Amino acid sequence: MNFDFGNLVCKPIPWLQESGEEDEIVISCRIRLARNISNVPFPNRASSQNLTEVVERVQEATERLDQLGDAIFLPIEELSSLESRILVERRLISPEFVQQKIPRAVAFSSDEKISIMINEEDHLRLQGFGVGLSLSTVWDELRAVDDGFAECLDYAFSDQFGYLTACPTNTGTGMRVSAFVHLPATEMCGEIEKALTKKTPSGLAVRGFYGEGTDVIGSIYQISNQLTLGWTEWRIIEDLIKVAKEIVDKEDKSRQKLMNDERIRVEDRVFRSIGILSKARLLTSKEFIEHYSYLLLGVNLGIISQIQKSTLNELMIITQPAHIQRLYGSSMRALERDVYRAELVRDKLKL
Amino acid sequence: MLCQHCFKKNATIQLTQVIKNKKEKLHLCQECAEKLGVNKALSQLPHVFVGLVLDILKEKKKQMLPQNINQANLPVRHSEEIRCSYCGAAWEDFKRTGFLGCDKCYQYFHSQVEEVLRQIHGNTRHIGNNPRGKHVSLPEVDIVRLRKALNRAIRREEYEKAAELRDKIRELESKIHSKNS
Repeated sequence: MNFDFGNLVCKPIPWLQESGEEDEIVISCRIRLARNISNVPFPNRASSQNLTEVVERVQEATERLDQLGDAIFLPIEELSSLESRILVERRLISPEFVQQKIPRAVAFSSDEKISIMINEEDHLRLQGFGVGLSLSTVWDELRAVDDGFAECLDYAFSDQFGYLTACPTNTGTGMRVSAFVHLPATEMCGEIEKALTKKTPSGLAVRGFYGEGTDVIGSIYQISNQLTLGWTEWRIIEDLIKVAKEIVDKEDKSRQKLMNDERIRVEDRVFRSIGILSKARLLTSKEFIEHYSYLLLGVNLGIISQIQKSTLNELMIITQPAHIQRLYGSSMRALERDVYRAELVRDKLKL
Repeated sequence: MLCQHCFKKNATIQLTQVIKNKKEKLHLCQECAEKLGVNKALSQLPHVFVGLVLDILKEKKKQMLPQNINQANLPVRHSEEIRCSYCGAAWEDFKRTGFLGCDKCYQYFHSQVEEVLRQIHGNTRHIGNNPRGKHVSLPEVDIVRLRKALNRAIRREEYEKAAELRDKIRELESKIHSKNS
C-alpha cells in the first residue's frame, strides 16, 4: 500500500470545486446506500474471518467494476490514525468507521465522488457526493456502481422488505439522501424556525448542528430523509429536492430583503469576518467556521470580489485538524493547530 | 443547564431537529446523548465540516463517538431463547442493540420485523429498486399502473382494451388475496 496522503491533503476535494444547481445556498449533497451480502452475518455479528472474506469479495468486485475507474482501495488497519482521520475529513469514511479494529476497508474513486465503506454497520455503504443540489447526477453515478456490485455480489434482498440492512431504520431502499444548506440570511431575519418547520413530506428531517450556545455553527443545516421503506428511490430524491428548494427560496428572499433593507448590517458582518480571518494569529475550528460562513455569504452576494469561492471551499477542507497536521508534518496540540490554521488562512486569502 | 434526560449532569450537547413538522430542542449530557443514540445523528451531521466539528467537540472534552457498533460477541443468556437458525441472534439481542444479525433474521423473525418496520416507516412493503432488475414488479405496484391505464382507456372509449385491463387487475387482485390469506 503506497497511497500518497501527502499529495491528497494538499488539494481540495475535486467535486467541491465544480459548480452545481443552487450552489449559492446548497453547499453539497450526498446519497448513501446500505447493502449487505446474502448468507453472511451482518458486521455486528460476523466473525473476523467472515469480515475478511467480505473485504476480499468486495475488493475483487471493485477491481472488476468499470464504473469506478481506477479506484483506490485501502484496508483500514494498514492506515495510521492520522491517515484515517484525513479520510474522515474528506467524507470518504464515517467517524465511526475508524473506531474499531475489525477487518474493514474503503474504496474510493480518484475524483472522490464515490466511496465504499466495507464492514461499517452494513457490509457495504456506498456513498455518492456532489456539489450544490446535484442529486440527480449523484444518483445516476451511484446507481451505476450499485448495479455493478449487484452483478458480482449476491445482495441480501427480499421482495417484500427490499434491501436487508443491519438496522431496520435503513431497510427497503437502504437509501439516505442529504443536502447541506447554508442559511445565514434566514437566521439573521429570525425566520429559521418557520423555514424549517414547513410541511415536510415522506419523513424528511432538517437538523442544525449546535456547538455551545444557541446558534447553529456556520448556519449550516442538513436536510435528509428518515424513511427508507415504501417509497421508490426517485420519489425520496424528488421530495428532498422539493423541500430543499423551498428552503433555498426562503433563504434567497431573506438575502434580497437584507440587501435592500439592511445592507450595511450584512456588509459589517462580512467585513468583520474578513478582518478576523486576515489578521488572526490563532484560529480555532469554531471561529473559522463562523467567519467562513459570513465570507461565503459575502462572496455569494457580491459584497466581496477579491476572494474566490473555490478558495473558501479549499480552506474548508485543509484547515481541518488531521489535514493541518499532515500538511505541517507532525501531530500537534490544539493550540499549535490554531496557529497553523490562522497562518494557512491568511496565506490562502492573501488579504 | 442540566441534562433534560438524567437531570444530573450538565448538558453539553444541544440538538435541534425537525421531524414531521415538529421542532424539538434537546439539552443532553454526553452520556445520555450516547444512550439515546443522538451521538449517531450528530456525527452524521457535520458532513461539510466533519473534521472541524469533531475538533470543537473534542476541545470541550467530549468523546462524542462511543464504540457503539461492537456487539460482535453477544452473550448467550438463555438457551431456550428462540434464535435465528442461521446466525444465532435472538430477538432479545435486537431489542438490546437495535441490530439484526443477518439477512435470514428477516425471515426468522418475520412477524416481529414486520411490526418494527411498520412502526418505523409506516410501511412494510418495498417498492423501489431490485438488484435483479431495475424495478421490483410487485402485484400492488402493477395494479396501480394498470388502474391508471384502465381509466385512460375508458376516457378514450377504448372499451375492448379496458375490458382486458380490468381482467388483468382482477387476476392480480385474486393473486394478492390468495397470498394474504
